[in-house]
Amino acid sequence: MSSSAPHRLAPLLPLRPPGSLLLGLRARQPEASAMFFDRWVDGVERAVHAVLGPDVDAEDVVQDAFVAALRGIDGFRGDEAALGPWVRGIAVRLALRRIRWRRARRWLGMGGSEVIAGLRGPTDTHLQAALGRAYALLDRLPASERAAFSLRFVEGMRLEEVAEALGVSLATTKRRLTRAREAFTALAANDAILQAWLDGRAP
Amino acid sequence: MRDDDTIDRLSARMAELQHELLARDRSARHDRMRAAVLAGVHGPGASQRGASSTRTWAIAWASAAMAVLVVLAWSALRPTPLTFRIDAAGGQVEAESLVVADGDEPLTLTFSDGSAVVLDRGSRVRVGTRRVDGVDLVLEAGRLETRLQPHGAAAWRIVAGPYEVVVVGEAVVLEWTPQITSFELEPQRGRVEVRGPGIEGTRVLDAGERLVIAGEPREGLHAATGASTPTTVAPPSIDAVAPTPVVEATPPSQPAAPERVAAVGRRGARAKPPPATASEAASWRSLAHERRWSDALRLAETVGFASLCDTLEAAALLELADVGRYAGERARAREALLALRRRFAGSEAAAAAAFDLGRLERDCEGARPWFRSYLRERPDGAMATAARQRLAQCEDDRSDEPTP
Repeated sequence: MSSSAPHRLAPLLPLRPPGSLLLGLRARQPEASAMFFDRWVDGVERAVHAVLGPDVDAEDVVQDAFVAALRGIDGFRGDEAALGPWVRGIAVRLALRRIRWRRARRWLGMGGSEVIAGLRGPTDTHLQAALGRAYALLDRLPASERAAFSLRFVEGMRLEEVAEALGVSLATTKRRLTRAREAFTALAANDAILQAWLDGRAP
Repeated sequence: MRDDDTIDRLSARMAELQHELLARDRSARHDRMRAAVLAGVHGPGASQRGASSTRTWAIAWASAAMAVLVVLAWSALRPTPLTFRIDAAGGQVEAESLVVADGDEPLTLTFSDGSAVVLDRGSRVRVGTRRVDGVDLVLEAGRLETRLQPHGAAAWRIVAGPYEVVVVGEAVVLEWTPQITSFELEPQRGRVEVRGPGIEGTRVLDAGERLVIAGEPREGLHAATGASTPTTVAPPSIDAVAPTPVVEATPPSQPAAPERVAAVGRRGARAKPPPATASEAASWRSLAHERRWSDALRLAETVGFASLCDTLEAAALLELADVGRYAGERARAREALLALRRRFAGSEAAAAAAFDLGRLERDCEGARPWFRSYLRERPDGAMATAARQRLAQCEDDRSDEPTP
C-alpha cells in the first residue's frame, strides 16, 4: 500500500495483532472490511486496469471483486498475507468475464468498440487515446492471452503471480504469454500511429 | 526494431501512462469505491442474504433458466447487420466490395436503417464490417458525405489512409486525396472523433469546425499510392477553424497505380471502360460491367482464360479475377490473381491481388500468408486495416484455453 493511503484508519493498525484482520473479516466487522479494502485496493486496481485498459467499467470490477471477496471470506483458506493475491485473482477473473461478455454482446450485435467507448468526450486526452490505441490492439488477442500479457508486461507481475491471478498453471501461462507477445509485436509493428508514439513523435 | 525492444518500450509506456491515470483523483475514487463496497457487504439488506439460501438458490436457478431462454430467443431474433444498396443500380452488394463512383453523378449508398453515404464522382470506397447500427468504410480516395440515422457509439467508422474517423453525429463531409496526402474533415451535424498522424491523440470536432491536414507526402503514408518516395519529410500543416477552409489542396494528380475496377458499380455507369488490348475485351468486359458475371466468365473461357492471364494488363486482370469471383469460380479468380502477381510483381495491383487472394481462401491457414504478404508489401496500404482485422480474426478464431 502506498504511503498516500487514507489516514483515518491508521489508529486501528497498532491495536490489531497479526491475523486479527482475517478474524475481523470473518466476524463481518465493517472496520475490518474497510481495512481490507484500503490495504489491497491499489494492487487490485492496477491489475484490473492492466487487463481492461482505460475503461469506464474498471471501477465497477474493482468494487465487485472486493464485494465478492468479503462475501466469500468464509471460503478463504490462506493466511492474511495471501488475502491480497486472492482478491486480485478474483478481480482479474471478473475483468476477463467482462471482456468475454462484451465480445458476446458484439456477437449478438449489441455492442460497439469497447475501447473507443471509454475514451469519449471533450475531457479525453492524448494520454487516454494512446493507451486506447494500445488496448485496441490487445483487444484483438484472445481474452486469456490479453490478460496474461497485460499482467506480465504492463503490471510487471512475476510469472507465478500471473499464473495465480489467472488461476492456471505456470506452463499454461508461459504458453499464453508466448503467443500473446508474438501477436502483439506483429500488430504493434504494423501500427504507424503507435510506432510514432513509441518513437516520441506523438505525445 | 527487435521484438523484445518493442514489447519493453511499449509496456513501459503503457505502465507509465496507466500509473498517471490512476493517480488522478485517487483519494476521491477510493473513498467512493470503499463506500460502495461497504454498502454492498454491510449495508441494509446485505445481512439478510445468508438467511434464505434455499430461496436464493431457487431464484438463481429460475433466473438462469430464464436467461438461457432469453439468449436462445435473442439468437433467433437478433438484429442483423445493416445491408446496403446502390440506388442507381439496385440490388444488394456484398460486404467489403469496392464501390467506385465512376459515373457522371454522385453515387448514393443507401443502408437498411435509412442512412446514406454519398460518394462524389470519381470517389472510391470499400465497405467493410457491417454491424446492426453502423458500418466500417474505407475511403480509398475522393470525397464522401454521410447522412446517418441516429446510431450507437462508435458505430460508424471511416478510415481514410492513415486516419480513422468515428462519426458520432449524423452528417459529415470527408475528403481524402492520397496522392498529396490531403485530408479534410467537416462535421455538419453532430460531432466526429479523428485520430491519425499529426493529430494529438483523438481530436473531437463539432459541427461548424473543419480540420484540414495537408503537406508534403511522408514516407510510409505514400506507399499505398505507389508514388515515388519523397526525399524530404515535412510535418503536415493542421488547422481546425470555423467555418472557412484553411488549406487549399492542389488538384489531385492521376493515380500512378492502375485503377481498380469496381466490383460493383452503377448499372451502365461505366461509360468509358478501360481501353481494350484485344478484340475480346469488349465482350467479356462489357458483360462484366453489366454485372453478368457468369456470362462474362463463359466468354472469357471461350477466348482462352489462360491466354488472357498471360496478356491482359494489371487492371484488367483484377477485373478478370472479379469476374471469376462473382461467378462463383474461385479457381478462376485465383488463376487471374496469381498471374497478376507473377507478371506485375511489386506493383500496387500485385499487392491488391495478394489481399484478394487472402479473401478467396476458405480458411485462415490459407488466407493468413496472403494477408501477411499484403501487409509486407503495403504496410500502410488502403487495405492494410482490413488485412490486419482479418489476421486478428484468425487469431480470435483459434481455440482459447478455458480459464479454470
